[in-house]
Amino acid sequence: MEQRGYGERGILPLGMKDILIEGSMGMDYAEGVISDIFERWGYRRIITSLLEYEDVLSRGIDGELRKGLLKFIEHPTGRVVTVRPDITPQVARIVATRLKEWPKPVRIYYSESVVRSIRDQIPHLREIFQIGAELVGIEGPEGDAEVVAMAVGALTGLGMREFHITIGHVGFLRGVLGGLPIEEADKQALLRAIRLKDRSGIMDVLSPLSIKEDYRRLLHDLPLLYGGREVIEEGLKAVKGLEPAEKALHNLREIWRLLELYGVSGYVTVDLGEARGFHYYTGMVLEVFLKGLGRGVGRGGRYDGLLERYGYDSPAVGFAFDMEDIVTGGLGRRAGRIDFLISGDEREAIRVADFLREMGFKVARDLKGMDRDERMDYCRKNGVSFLLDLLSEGLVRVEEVDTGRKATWRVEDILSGKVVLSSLKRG
Amino acid sequence: MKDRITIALPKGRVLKEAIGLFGKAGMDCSAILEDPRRLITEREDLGLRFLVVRDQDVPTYVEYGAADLGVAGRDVLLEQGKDLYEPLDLGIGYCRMVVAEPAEMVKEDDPSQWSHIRVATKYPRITERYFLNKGIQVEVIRLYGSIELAPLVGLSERIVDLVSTGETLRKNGLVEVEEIMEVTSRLIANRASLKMNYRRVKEILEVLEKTVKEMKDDKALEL
Repeated sequence: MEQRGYGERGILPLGMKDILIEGSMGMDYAEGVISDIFERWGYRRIITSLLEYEDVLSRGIDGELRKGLLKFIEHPTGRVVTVRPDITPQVARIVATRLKEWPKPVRIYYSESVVRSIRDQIPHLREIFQIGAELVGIEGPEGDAEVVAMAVGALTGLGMREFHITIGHVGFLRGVLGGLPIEEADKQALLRAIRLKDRSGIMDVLSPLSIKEDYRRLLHDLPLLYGGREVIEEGLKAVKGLEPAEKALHNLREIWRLLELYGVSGYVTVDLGEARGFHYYTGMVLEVFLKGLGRGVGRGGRYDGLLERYGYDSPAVGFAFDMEDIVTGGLGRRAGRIDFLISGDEREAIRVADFLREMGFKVARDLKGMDRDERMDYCRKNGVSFLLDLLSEGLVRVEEVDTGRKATWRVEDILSGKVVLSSLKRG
Repeated sequence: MKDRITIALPKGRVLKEAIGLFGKAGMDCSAILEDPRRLITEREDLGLRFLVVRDQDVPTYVEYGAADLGVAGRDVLLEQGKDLYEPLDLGIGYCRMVVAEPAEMVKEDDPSQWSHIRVATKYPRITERYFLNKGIQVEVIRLYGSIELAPLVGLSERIVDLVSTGETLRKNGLVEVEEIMEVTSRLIANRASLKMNYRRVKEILEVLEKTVKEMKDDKALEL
């Protein structure tokens, strides 16, 4: 028979995907752990709208994000509707319009997907699953430190140890560049070079300009201003007298002090030369890196001007993780296993399965009398730990799938609790 | 125990220069040259591992973190536009990217009158951007090698390619008409590695920068 494929036309729109069982179980596990941590810090969940009017959303987003929107026309009104590319502006809108009267700070979290355009050989949209938290109404470094400490808590809660959170401050770069007598085109070239940490490129832009030598030195060294706490002090020495940049560094220094109190500063590095991130950030910015994964897996920062764009002026700070990266980068195959696959006489199998489920185990029944090969295949694909084979005369054979270790028990001993099943469960 | 740092070097014309530079900077990896088929060279004593990959693949290895650092030409970096850091111009692998056309065409050709032109190149994005910036519509023909052949057999009128001595162009009756940019190789860094291994990466950066400067000064003395 002729096979009906989808060929080069593709089966899903560019950049969209279905996440199959293993990936979904991993995401579900990570979401469970992270949202539990968020709740332990007093954050509560909201669910934002999938679609937004473009003109409303546009108040909250700039630049890159605005270019890559998925849009269509809403028929009854003729207005342009877009799929959310970012949750933070939605949170800003919601707090500014609906939670104005709510006691501050407002602590909320979300776990939702966004659709935005990504930079690639061929630019296309991508659906990104994010879990994030926002703290609205705290202006000082206490707010910044809380979200960084909570981000560390979420990652350690997932059992991760090898990760870094880099913090920087947009006020520092703005302060440094603000004092520079330089035209817009040169400024863009300079920003690009700073983005790439390209010291040669920075010098190319600066060499024809007449600026003070110590200033030139500072800009040239900007790409190297990253590392531990000492970087803040180095920065302070380098920008002496440049008030806005000094202010930014004092702010970072205070945040760092609090991170030490939280006991998380060992996970944190400082990068003063980082020029990436959304336009709406106004203060500290952060990015999360996992060992072995070349890109950031989470990002955030302070956005004190964003709520005002929706009519209510309030400081805010937050961050989000990319769930898929968290799962691929840090979890492996830990999540979503099934404890037992049970085969044999249906009355007996239902009875034993019910009992085990009652005890909190995950139990799948063999409904079609699989042969051994089929069963092993089923177990491997679904991550089943043990086979339970009901034999005659009230006996049951237990086999550990990974090791092949076997034992025979009496069914009654299982049901009466004589055989301690929890000892089977890997911790 | 220090984490090992993996450095991707490009096969081809820049490899020897790169090995020389790393050697001068105390990161000897000349063992690479002993066996051209060997793809990985370990220097466990230095905490380093070197990979030798196609020049165009270096940014990919580094972007995904398979290598922490790499050496890549400005041509490749601009063509691919990957999300990387490019902290240092190594000053090696110097050449230029130019527009060239057959010598007999040059006589009656006036670049200011170009409108819709056909250009063969290995660098479609750079080529397109370059001509669009000048307001010239361009039909880019992407080739993977022997670019100089294209104008000789009528595949395109012009080419965009790298030249170092200009010998290949001359041999094929082509003449340079415009320079797009100068190209040297750069040290590139994975974003996560640079931050997570900041002490080691900084050390490597600093010693390389010093070596590059010394080599530049030496060259200046020779001249």
